[in-house]
Amino acid sequence: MTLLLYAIADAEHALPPGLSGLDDRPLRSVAHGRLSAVVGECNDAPTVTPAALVRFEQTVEELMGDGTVLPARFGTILSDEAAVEQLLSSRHDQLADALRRVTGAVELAVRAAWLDDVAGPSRPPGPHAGAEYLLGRLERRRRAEQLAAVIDAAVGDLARERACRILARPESPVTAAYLVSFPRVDEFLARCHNLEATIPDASLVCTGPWPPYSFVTREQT
Amino acid sequence: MTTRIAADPENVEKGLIQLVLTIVELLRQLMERQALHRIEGGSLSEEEVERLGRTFLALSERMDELKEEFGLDDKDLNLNLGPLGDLL
Amino acid sequence: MVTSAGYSSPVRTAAARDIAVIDLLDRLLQGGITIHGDIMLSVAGIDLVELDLRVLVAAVDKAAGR
Repeated sequence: MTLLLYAIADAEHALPPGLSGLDDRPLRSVAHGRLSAVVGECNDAPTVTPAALVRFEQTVEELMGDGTVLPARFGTILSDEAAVEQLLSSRHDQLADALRRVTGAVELAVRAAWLDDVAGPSRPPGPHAGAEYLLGRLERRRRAEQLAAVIDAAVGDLARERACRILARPESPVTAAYLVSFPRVDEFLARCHNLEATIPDASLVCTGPWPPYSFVTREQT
Repeated sequence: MTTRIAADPENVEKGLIQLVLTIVELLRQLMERQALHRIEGGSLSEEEVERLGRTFLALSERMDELKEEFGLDDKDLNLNLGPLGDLL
Repeated sequence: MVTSAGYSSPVRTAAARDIAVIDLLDRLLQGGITIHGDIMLSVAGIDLVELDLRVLVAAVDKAAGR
């Protein structure tokens, strides 16, 4: 029986009673040093379905309701409790550090989508098709970077950290995540809402608060 | 979630194709980013930009054909959604 | 769907509308604690090589002199 990892928290983090995870399996906590890992039994790596993602997310949010947690990536499985302890011990300081960094904050996400079709014009095989293709890609990237800068200028000062992806998908010029302290969340959401009206060529979707998925391991600036 | 590229006795061809295409796609994206940086930097002649553009265009179209032929989509090559955007 | 946690304002804010699967994918499959690399190369069901794309790309980037 393998274990699915939901989150890593302080050793003192209390598991909400009766909380279950995917497939209604009960959760338990494995502690090591100053850390604990919340896991649930699973037969195999879970299949990625919208329902499973939602359930996983809800479970992590329940855990977060009790205190700061580092969410695990969906589908992170460990062979047994010894493997969980091994994970906690081998990366103990790094994980404890990450936990400290996100304490008292949540992740807010801003996703932009172009309003016009920027999939690119159909290319007539003219003498400059190559240059048009590359310059088109360049223009698309520049527009996305400008939009990211506009978003950042509007809300960046409210965040402790940011993680921004440019053109993660062709239709998503900007996928940004901000780590925001609790008292500033309302202000952040309000500013996002106002910002959208000022951007003529893209729509913005602001979601959250999320567990700090984008701020658990990576180096951010 | 880890992308699993598996070469099993039964599907050696598809596993290998997925591996090769993933690496080609990674390199294609890296090179295209680099080309855009060079254009921005102004160090390429018009003729060079045209030649590069034609090559990337052809590569991109050929990748789409190969993906279709072997029943792979962008998720299988897990690069569009990957962490590339963070770094380049 | 996304609830607030440790944070006392209303659970669903006006801005928290329209959470698509894509937002879940972006976080749950892109972020979070991982124990493996991004690409696992396996032969005959045996995992042989793990690649961390971030490390790989960072290395290539460095090699490209930027």
